[in-house]
Amino acid sequence: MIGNEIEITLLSIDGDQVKIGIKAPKEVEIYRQEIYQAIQEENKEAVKQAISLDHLKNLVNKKNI
Amino acid sequence: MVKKLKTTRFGEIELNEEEIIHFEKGIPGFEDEQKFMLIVQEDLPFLFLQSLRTSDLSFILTDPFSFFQDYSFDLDDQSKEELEIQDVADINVFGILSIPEDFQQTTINLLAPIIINRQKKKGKQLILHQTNYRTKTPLFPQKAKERGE
Repeated sequence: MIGNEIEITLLSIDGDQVKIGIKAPKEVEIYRQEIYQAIQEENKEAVKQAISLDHLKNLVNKKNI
Repeated sequence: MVKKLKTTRFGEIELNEEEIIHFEKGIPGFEDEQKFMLIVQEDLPFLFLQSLRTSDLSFILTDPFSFFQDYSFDLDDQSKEELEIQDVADINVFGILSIPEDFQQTTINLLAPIIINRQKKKGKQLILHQTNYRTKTPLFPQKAKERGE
């Protein structure tokens, strides 16, 4: 148990696969850490390119999308 | 009430209080950023999610459905509650773009779309479960294919 609302259960172990069950109140969002991290990194990368508005318009015009 | 907002990409712009979109939990990687506004540029197929707090923070977004016609996902009940969604017609779905130096290699994050409830001015970045969508899907798949990706 984590606190008195989150319950973690070991469901099965099959070779090198472990299944874990998590019971939590529905307002608690559960993600695999690597997924959340991947989104964090993707977001940071997305805003890193400080592409200007004019540059962007140029690119789009050239490409005619 | 109209305020002035300083932004890196757009200079100083006018901001109406009612245009503010609240992201209660921020955005992954930017958890402290809770207020944004959408900036539409008529001659661009993209729009911008500009932070109110950080002048140089603006995400470039696009409508994923106009690039990927069969893009679909289920909106979970918790998100509906969180964003106070009463009618799905009130929401907009956007994908965050990552534009590298070579524009042809632009990618869109289909794994974690931005959902905005226009009625309640609430938004979040939804992380999809049990899906094959990825964070880096080429926006121009034809070009990616030509490069052999």
